[in-house]
Amino acid sequence: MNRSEAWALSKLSYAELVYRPLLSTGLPIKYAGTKKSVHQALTGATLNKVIFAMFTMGGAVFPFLIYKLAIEAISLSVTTALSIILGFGYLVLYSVQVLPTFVTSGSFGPLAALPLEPRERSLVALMTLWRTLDYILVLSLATEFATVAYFTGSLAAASLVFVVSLSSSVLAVALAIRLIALFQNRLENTSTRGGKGLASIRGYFRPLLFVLWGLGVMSAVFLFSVISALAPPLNLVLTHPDTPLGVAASLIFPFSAGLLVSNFLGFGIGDLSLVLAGGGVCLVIFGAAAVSWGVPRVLDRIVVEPARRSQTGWARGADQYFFRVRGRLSAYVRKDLRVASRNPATGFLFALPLFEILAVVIPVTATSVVRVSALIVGSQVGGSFALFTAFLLVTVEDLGVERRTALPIAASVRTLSKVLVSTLTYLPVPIALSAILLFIKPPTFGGGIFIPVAAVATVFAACVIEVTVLNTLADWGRGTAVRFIAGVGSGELIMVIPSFAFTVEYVATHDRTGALLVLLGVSAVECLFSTLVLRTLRARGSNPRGEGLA
Amino acid sequence: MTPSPLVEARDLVKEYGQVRALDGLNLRVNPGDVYGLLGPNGAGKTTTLRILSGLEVPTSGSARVAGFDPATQGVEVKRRIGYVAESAILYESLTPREYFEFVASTRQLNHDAVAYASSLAQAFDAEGASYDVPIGALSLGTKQKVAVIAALMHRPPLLLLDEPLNGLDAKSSKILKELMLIHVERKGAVIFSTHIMEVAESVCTRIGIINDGRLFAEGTMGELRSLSGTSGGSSLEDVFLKLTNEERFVEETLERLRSEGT
Repeated sequence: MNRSEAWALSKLSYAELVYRPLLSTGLPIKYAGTKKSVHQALTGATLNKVIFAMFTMGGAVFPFLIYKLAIEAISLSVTTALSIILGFGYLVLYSVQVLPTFVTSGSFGPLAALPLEPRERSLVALMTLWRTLDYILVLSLATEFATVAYFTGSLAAASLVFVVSLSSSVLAVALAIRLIALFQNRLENTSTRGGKGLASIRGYFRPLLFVLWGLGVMSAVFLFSVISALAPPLNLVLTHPDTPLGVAASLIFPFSAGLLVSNFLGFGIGDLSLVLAGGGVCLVIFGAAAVSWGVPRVLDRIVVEPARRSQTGWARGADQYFFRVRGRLSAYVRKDLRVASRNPATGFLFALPLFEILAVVIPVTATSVVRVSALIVGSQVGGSFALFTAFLLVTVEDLGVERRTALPIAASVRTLSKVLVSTLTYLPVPIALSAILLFIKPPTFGGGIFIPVAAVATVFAACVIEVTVLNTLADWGRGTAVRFIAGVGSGELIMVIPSFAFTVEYVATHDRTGALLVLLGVSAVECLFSTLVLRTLRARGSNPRGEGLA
Repeated sequence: MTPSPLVEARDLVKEYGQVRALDGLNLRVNPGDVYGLLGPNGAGKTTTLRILSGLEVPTSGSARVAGFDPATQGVEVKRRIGYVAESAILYESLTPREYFEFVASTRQLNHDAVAYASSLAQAFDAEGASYDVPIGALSLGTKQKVAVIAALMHRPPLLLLDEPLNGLDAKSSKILKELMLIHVERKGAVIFSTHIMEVAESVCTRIGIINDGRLFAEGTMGELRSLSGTSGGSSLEDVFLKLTNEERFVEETLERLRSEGT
């Protein structure tokens, strides 16, 4: 088989990869039952890739904008490093979301049955992988190159960043595949050993995944806050290569790349840093090359060896078949938590409270006094985390089983379950902010303590609206990107309204207490409205017109 | 007096874009019926069961299941049915125990029903230790057992089973067939689709033959034999091929393959 034949075969595998999950989610597509449906699915996948590529492009450019506009005191080394690491984070984030279908959807089943050499299968799988990530890789690497060339005027620096970003991208994809494989291996090992299931995922793995996702989410939502908080200490570390921390930072990727770029542009970084940074960059490039060499083998294993299936029976004594019956909502919440914790794409949800606290507390405590505006922004930030949680819970819920099952579950229960889980992830924010205001740094306005607390009602309402919009759009067969923009967007709108009302009232009257009362009133109205939405869903029952055609 | 039917469908039409999966299907199933839905691939069997279970809305026509309209009263219908899909629809990251707990909780089963569900689990398999293994790691047959138990555990009046014997071993198939018979003895009803003619012949009280989205023959085995003009000793397979006009095609195809083989 030559490369063009492999390329043609990879087109089929890629189409399977895109189409199969769509079928299994039961989401209707406009031209279901016709060849156009495959075309539509592929167009939707391309749209998703382009939208996500825009995120990665933004991540590449944003640190340089801050650097150029001098919004924050940030060095070129740190700017370059942040730009690269954001691209890395986004790519891992996307790959962990998308690549599990490589393993689980059986897209390579037909390929595995063909009489192909392992090398040929690997080639097809590699090309399929490329088709899955093409827009994101090309656009992010081109943006990285163009950004560095534009902002530094150095072609050498841009070329260096391009090579380093390319290596970083390879490592990101490899890391994602590794993470997915860990989940998958755990599943297989558990089945063959008869263990306790994925609930007992090894302790070392879960924190890693959490950190990874947390970084991704933080960078996506709170780029500015994070950069403003991280830039000063990073600058300090990188400008002191004589300290142990400085030595380590110089060697560590992507700071090593950042230091080399600085050196290209004539910012003296010292001989020691130069050697360490050069070593660090070489290490990454060699590492990426080594990983590239190994990826085809991993892909071939995925293609050839479908998941091992347990052939064993169930249990021994009759009493071992016992299970508990809980309340409907309680059972649904437990199910949502279990499913989310065992999916590589949502496992990080359980670390969100930690990252929320960091993302909210760092900016709030960075100022000398806690202003009302900081509390409003902090609440918005925490609320955005909750909205993201709701989106993930709805989107990756075991390929949409709840939309295809014949269980008597009202749409209101399904919605409320996800809203409760999402709202729970917000609760650490008011707790952390209240603790800061009560014990560490009093606010400039005493009533400000009610702002993050009132936001609980707003977050609840925003999640109800978001989940309802997401479900409705799924009924209409809209793609993930459209659902994300409309669902999270509508939630964000609900989140913003009370703050907007507060601002308008304050600008008009300069009365903080009055503005706070308006904020509380608007939050209460939103909460009431969301309750009415839930009641409507309850009245609608599980009418398939409302549940989505499967 | 004619008993009120558990299932009544009138002029069901279902279109997927340009494709018409159901084309005016009429169906009536009474308590005590084991109704076998037979037909070639793509005939509309699965679509019929999905509409009756409230998972799809017909393009036109109406259906009543246990007195409720599945298109507008989905929850009520789902409370009264047990549905096994053609390919098991399960939360693959949950273990069978967790999945049963979830299903039992959403159906709010009482202690007796939980005990019955535990007995079902034990009946279908009692030798290994995969009751606490994620469903995704189980074999096709074991997944099917999970789906079957989840559909039976609340002892619904109506069972809608789409190829329920897919992947089941002989022991489990036997148990399921017997459970279907016990179910109708207790005035329940079963509608199930299958390609295994022997099963349909041995279990069904009535058989409906569906083709191109229409039910064009229905009755007991004897009624179908006389309708097709086959002899008293004809198997359901013969009757089916005769009624679907595929008998001649099969014979010609086999003749051609034989001659090509030599």
